[in-house]
Amino acid sequence: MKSYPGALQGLVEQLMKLPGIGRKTAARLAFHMVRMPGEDAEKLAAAIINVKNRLALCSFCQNLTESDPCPLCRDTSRDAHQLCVVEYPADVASIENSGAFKGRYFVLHGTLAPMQGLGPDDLRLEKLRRIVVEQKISEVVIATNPTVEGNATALFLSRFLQPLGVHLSRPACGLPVGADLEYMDPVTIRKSLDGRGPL
Amino acid sequence: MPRVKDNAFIINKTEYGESDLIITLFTAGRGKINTIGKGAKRSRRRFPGSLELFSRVAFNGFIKHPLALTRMDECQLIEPFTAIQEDLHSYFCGCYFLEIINRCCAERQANKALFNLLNDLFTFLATVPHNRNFNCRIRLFELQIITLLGFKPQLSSCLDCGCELDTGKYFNFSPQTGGLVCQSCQPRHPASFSVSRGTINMLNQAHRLDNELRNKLNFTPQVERESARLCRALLRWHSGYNFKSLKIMERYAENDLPVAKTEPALAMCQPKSYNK
Repeated sequence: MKSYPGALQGLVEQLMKLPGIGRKTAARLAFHMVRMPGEDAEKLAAAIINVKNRLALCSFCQNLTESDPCPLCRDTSRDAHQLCVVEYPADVASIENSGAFKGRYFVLHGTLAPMQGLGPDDLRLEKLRRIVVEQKISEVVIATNPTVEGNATALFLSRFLQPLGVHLSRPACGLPVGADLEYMDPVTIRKSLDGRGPL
Repeated sequence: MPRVKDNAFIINKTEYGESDLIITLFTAGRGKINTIGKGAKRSRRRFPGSLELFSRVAFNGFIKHPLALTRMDECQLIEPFTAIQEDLHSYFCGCYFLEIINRCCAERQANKALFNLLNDLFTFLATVPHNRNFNCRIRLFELQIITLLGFKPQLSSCLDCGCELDTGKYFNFSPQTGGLVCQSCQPRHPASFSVSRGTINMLNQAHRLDNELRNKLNFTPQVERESARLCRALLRWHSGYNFKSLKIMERYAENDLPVAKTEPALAMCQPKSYNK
């Protein structure tokens, strides 16, 4: 490392701050950047600066957006009385790609994870409460991940929102498309059978 | 280096890279070990729903180097303890105990008794309905874990001068010395705090009794409060760490979790800036 020129060393150190990138990977990426055409390097640098400067949180759904409110919240063709609560912005993109939900979203930016020090105060609850009350939401779909933290968060949100009298629902849990029963765990099989539907 | 096959509890997991997970296990035969599950977020065949907190699993791995992360090759679910996540109080308590094990246990030190106690604890959290005895049982589990971790408090004589403590209504407990100190030694232990005789007697009794009788103990609110303070001060002193889940667990125990109202509450949670 000591033999790297200062500029390269600086780049390696910055890249090492990214999640899952160690010293060797950072050096490999840095050397790739050294070799890449100047135009591409400028585009990469500009893209990083743009992301930091232009992205903000939508004041309604708390999703990442360049304009406030975000395009999803501005879309008048969407059902304004259905709200889907997700953990992170990436989850909004996943549900949108499925095309199965036509309502609005709310991003919590976390889950109840006491071991990481994340409790109810970190879940933007006041914003969620205000949206449910002011937008006269009739159904809240709590689409947190079916993990221990996600399930506990869903349970907490159901307790939190219950006094508002909204209909609360949760996406079904079960066998994924193309799955092999032989390799499924007992919990998934049990949940899929509990939530079975008529043919 | 050897292949490892063992039963274990999942006590922590951290995302690593695109689809890997670093999973901390508490195994029956090797104590706490950190493992890496390559592609664990994607592979349903090798890790079928088995990498959730509290789960008891049969894991299969490979130790390449004693100091390196153990490679987790396969993990089969034995008991998921799903009922823990269906009750917030149980969930917060469970997270607190997972954090204790994760922070206070040294790696690769087998502790079969602690493994069995964790099994009893998760079974209790997953099955027992909440009543007044719930908090008492939680305190007793806390005390047993402290004992099995090697931090058992000395509650009979002064740990500074050695004199017998058999008079007085209140005693001084010093977390630094790990036990009681007499009135004359107390000035040398500024972090000590007073604990009632009733609490000390009850804790001594809890240490002496076997499991079946111990589970029948019932603490008064004062004993419960004082024993909680004692256990937490001891754990904090030995680990040098403020347990993050403790604050949330205590808040829930006081029924202080927010509930939405049609009118905004004054002390409602304020959103934090986006920092992920």
